[in-house]
This record gives sequence, structure tokens and C-alpha cells, in this order.
Amino acid sequence: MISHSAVNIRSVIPPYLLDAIAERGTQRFPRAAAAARSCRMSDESCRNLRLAGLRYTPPADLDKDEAALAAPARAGLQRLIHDAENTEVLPGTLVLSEGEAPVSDEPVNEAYDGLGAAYALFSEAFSRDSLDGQGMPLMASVHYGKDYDNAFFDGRLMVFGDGDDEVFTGFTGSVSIIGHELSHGVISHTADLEYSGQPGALNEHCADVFGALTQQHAAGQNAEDADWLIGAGIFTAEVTGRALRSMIEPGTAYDDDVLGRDPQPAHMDDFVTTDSDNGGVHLNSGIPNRAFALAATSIGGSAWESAGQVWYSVLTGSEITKQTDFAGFAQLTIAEAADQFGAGSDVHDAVVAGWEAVGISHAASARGNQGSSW
Amino acid sequence: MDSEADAAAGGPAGGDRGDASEPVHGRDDGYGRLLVERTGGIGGMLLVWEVDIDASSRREDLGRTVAELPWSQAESGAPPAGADRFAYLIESRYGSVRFGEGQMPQEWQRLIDEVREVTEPQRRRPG
Repeated sequence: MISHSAVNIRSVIPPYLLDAIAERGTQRFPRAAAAARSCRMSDESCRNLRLAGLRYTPPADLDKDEAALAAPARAGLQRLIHDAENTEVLPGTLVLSEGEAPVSDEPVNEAYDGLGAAYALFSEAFSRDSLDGQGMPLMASVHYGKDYDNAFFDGRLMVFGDGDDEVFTGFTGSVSIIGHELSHGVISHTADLEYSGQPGALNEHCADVFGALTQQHAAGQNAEDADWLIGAGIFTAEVTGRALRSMIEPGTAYDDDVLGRDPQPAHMDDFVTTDSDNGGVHLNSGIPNRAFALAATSIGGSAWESAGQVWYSVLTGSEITKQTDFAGFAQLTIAEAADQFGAGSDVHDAVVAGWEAVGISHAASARGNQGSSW
Repeated sequence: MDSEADAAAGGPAGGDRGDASEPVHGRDDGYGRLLVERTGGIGGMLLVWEVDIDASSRREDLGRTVAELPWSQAESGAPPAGADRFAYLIESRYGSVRFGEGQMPQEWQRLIDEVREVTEPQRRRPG
């Protein structure tokens, strides 16, 4: 059982020392951080957004009603790419808007094109208009931070670092990563899977699924021809590795002297229990990732037309909850495959086989899911 | 940059570094060791910065900062919005706290910045 209650772990400290720290610490370090964080946006950025008819609300102050107000919807693709100029001030300066010509800064163009590819997947394959299904503008920021080795979704923006040029190159260089981050936005507007433990790993898994499908859809690629890699091409030439993750062969994406070996498990037997990484959300996602990739390649053809339809229907359906675990998700996808394609169909059989191959069965779910069964 | 990775590996109060998840212990009359663990991010990789404060050339500054931080009052707040942000664990003999990236109070962010100045990170296998 992963303990998330131990967010603030006390050690054995004498009461007098606690009192002294409380008193002097408060005087020396006034707790203005919350106010400072809510103001982490420059006046210039505000002006840029207002010119575009939009308002960026920091996610700490954002709820879904406010989000709808913050970015007025209009049907169709609307991309807004910002330059954080190697600061951590978001969103940064607006540098490319929908329909404008490419600029000289390649990460800006990569973000623009990648968001377009991800939007096209959801629009053409799943008839979904943007993150919220109502044409919400796609906002991204590039050049975030200094040597920043990451990409993330902040609840509203898709944010990309440039990498450190030693291990990572820029994170806009991978369409699957851009699709992954946009998919987190779709997830947050649909199942909104809790970002911890197994639901968090499913959140990561679904972002990987639609990130990979973004790449395959853009390339017109069949499942059996796809590499099923997330983040291919973002390592420098110094790293011995293909990508951040392999969906079809978790644990094999890299094996490098500095980075070590890809730690993702491929089977419930190797499920990782940890308090780190929000309960190992980026580790255990390897298990459902493999189930999906096996099912999709077994079915063959365009994965967004078969297994992808099943996964999208479950993600946007009424039965999934924020706390759905691996076994529950497997049950929903198997039932959905039977509903959409027929019990005993190739798709249904492939989805069942995919989950069985990674050990999502009665026995495995009892061990890893704390009471969930199917 | 004044790298003190060697000191982190085992100064006067050093010894076996142990696993990143093990508690950090210092000697009774010193500041002990400080560990900063960064997990998460889209890559899910683990980086660890570890300093033997007592063996550090910045022992007094760093030690005083660590001793005066509000370990017992630190709160990580609500889970951060979105996904793929880094998650930090900070441990010393004074306590252990967790923060999500973007949720960290300034005094803790300053500590991490200081640790990054005095030692290089080690990559370890997560989980």
C-alpha cells in the first residue's frame, strides 16, 4: 500500500527545538511564497494574451468553471505558442498564433505542428474538438527554464523545456511527447484520473496511448509498423537509448552508463510500490502500456480505429472514476470492446489477451489493486 | 561550481550512502547529511543530490539554513494541477518533507539551489 499521507514526515525533534525553529523560521522566512507563485506571470505576458482575446489563469487558482471563462471557446483549431525565454514565468511572450507563418525558432514551430497533429487525432479519429471538446484554444510555452529536462501540463498550458544538451535535447522534438502533454489536457477534462498510484499510472498510460497514436495518425502508420516509443529522438547522441519509454517492450527504452536502465515494469509481477513519483506513475504505466500495444498490434491496421476507439470511449465514458485502478480499467476496456466490436471479435479477443499478457487477472488485481476485482 | 561530490560520498560523518529511500542520519554534534531527491517529470527519472554538511566547505551557512528551516511546519498543499511535474523529497536529521514542483516555498527552493551549487546529482534507479 502506497502511503500518501506521509507528505510531511516528522522526525524525532526535541520540542524546544521545534519551538525555536517555528519562531525564528517564521521571522526569517516569511511565507510569502503562495502569493509570489500566484503572480508568476509578467505584465508583458498578460498584455500579449489580452491582445489575443485570452486570459491565462495560473492553475493554482483555476477551477473548471474559471477555465471555461479564461479561454473563450470557438470551434476549430486555435493554437497559441509562447516563448518563456528560459525563465519559469508562464506563459511567456506570445510568438506564434493560429494561421501565422512559421518563425525562425524551430521549437516554436515544432510545438505548433505537434499540437496540430494531436488536435487532428482527437478531431478526426474521435470527433473531439480540443481538450474540453468545445474548441478550447491550445496554449503552449517553449524554452521553459534553463537547461530544463522536462515537459509538463500545468492544468492549462503545455510546457516544454530545451533540455540540457548533455542527456536531453529539446522536448518539442518528439511528436509523441507533444501528443502526450495534450492528452493530459483531454484526460483532465474527462476521467480526470487522480495523479497518484494506479489511477495516476493510468493517467500516464492514457497520455502515452494518445501520444503514440498522435504520431501514428500523423504518419498514417499501422500498429504493426509503429515503434511504440514515447520520446524517440530527445536523447543526445551521448546517450545509449532509443526513447523515454517503450510501450510494447517496457524496460528496454534505454540502457546507459549514466542514465542506467529503463526501470519500467512490463508485468504485474514486477509492479513497483514506491512513494516517489506520486506512487510510481511513470513506472507502472508500463504495464497497461504493454497491454494496449499488444492488443493494437494483434488487431493490426490503424490503432486509432480499433483499440484506440475502445480506450477513448472508456476514458470519456460514464463508468470510469478518478480512482479507477488497473483491474477496473481492464474490465471497462474489455466490456467496451465487446460492446463496440462484438463479443468474440478480433478486437475483443485482442484486448482480453493484452491484459492477460501483463498479468491483469483476478490474482494480480487482488495483490496490486487493494480490493478491486473483475 | 564547487563540487563536493567526494565529500557527499563519505566525509567524517559519511559512510555508506545507502539507498535513497533510507533516512538520513548525522552525527549527534553535527548537522549531518542532507538529501534532495527529484522524481517524476515525463521521464520518471530519479536524481539525487546528497551532501555531508559537516564535511562541506559551506558547513556553517548550509547547516544553519537546514537547522532553521520549518521542517515540522512544511506543507505540500493540494496536489498540483496537471501532470508530469517533478516531485521533490528533502531529508535531513531535522525531518523529511515532500513538495511538488511549483508548490515549493521560497526558503526550500533556495535550499535546493544551494545544494545544487555544492554537489553534482547522481542518477539512481527509481522505485
